[in-house]
Parts: sequence; structure tokens; C-alpha cells
Amino acid sequence: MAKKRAFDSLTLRARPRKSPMPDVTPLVNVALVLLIVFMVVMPIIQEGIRVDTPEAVNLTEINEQGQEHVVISCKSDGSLYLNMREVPLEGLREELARVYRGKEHLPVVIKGARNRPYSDILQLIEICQNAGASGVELIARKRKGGS
Amino acid sequence: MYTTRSTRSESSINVTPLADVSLSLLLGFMVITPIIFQTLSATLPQGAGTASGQVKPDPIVEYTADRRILLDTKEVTMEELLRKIDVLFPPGSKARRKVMFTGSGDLPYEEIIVFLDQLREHGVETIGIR
Repeated sequence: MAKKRAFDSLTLRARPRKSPMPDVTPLVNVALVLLIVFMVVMPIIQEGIRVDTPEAVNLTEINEQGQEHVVISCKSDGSLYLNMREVPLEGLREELARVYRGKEHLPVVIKGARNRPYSDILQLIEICQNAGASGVELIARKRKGGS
Repeated sequence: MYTTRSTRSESSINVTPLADVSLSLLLGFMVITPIIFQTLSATLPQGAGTASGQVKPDPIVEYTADRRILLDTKEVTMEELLRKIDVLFPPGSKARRKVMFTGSGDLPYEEIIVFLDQLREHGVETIGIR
């Protein structure tokens, strides 16, 4: 009996001491991973569909915060995207009318590839006009070294 | 025995300030990062006869497939065009510099943007595409 008691007290002493502070290391790990993910993903989300847009100097900045612009992208190979979804030219008119409903106060953002003929962009502008847009915003990259 | 226990240093690093900083940074990134587009704005004529009620119709700038510039159907050079814009909209006047632009569909989109960029650089605030 005495032997058993000695054993009990031994195990009690061997039990790890509880630290008064909670262990925040997993929290830090998760936070740092999330931070890195955000830092990497944010520019990709910002860019949306990757298009080789023309360069210009006198650009205005539109802030997307709080309002969702409709973006039509025309890639170098001629493929068209409405926001992030690929749409054929034939279906663009109906799709745009559906997506643009209720946003008529916002201009449509057109992201055209620099090497496309202007007629392609004009076609998109005409579709936007028919959908009721009062203006378009033509995306360009800020020219490096420009004033 | 007592003194030995009190001077023993903590085995793990205190990561709480690091957690604070990284969580604040994370929140900052989530909230502040806006989506910004850099664009050239253009207006689109609405319906027919928008110019009918106007005292003076907007000048029409045309950029042809053979890279000639026409201002109200008269051929001009880029310098002449910019000078004529200054005459039409004197620098001191309150009138907004507005032109209507027609570009040839055969030209690459990049050239059109460069052209519009030049107009914008010269203070043309509103460019209407037709």
C-alpha cells in the first residue's frame, strides 16, 4: 500500500506543469500563413483576367471599393471574358444585359489587349452602349518612366 | 534551492507581440487593399441627336487607318490639332475640353490608346467615342 502511494505521488510530480500563459504559437502560424496567402493572392485578384493592356501616361484611377464594376476583357487571342467568366461574342450581349442590370450608373470597364485591332474594342463599346452604358473605362498600364 | 528556481530563464520565446503585429497586418491587408483600375475614360453618346440642343457641337477628331488626323473632316497634324483645341477651348475658359473621337477599326488598339493619351495630356477632359 505504501509502495502504491509513493508511486502516485511520483506520477503527480512527473505531470507537466501548466504554463500560466496560453500557447499562441499555432495562432501565429495560422496568422502568418494567412498573411502570406493574402499578400500573394491580392495582386492576382486585383488583376483579374491577365491581359497585355496598352500603356499610357494620363490615367485616372477608379477605386473598386464598395461598387462592383462590370469588366469585359479581350485577350490577345481574341477570347472574351465578362468579369472572370469566358463568354462567346454571340452571348456577350445577353450576358452583359443580365450582369449590368442595376449598375447603369457605373461605366463598363474594358480591358483590351494591345495587339487587338481597334474594331474588336469598338464592337465591345457598341455592345456596352446598347446595354445602356453612358461611358466606358479603357484599362491601360501606367507607362514606366512617364511623367 | 529557491534562488536557482527564480533565475531560471523562460525556455520559449514570447511570440505574443509577433502575433499582434501579424494579425494587424492581416486585417490591414483584408480591409484596406482596394481594387484600383487605371483607365482612360470615354463617354458614349446616348440616343440620337445629343448635339441637337447644344449651342456648339463638339469637335470631331478622326484617326484614319493611314494614320491621318482629321479635325471636323479637315486634315491636320498632331501639333495643329492640339493648337486648334487650344483655340476652341481657350486655356482660361471654364468650358470643359470635350471632343468626339472616331478611330479606324483597322488600327491596333494600342495606337488608339496612345492617341487618346496625347489628347488627355493636352487637357481634353471628356472624350466621346462614336
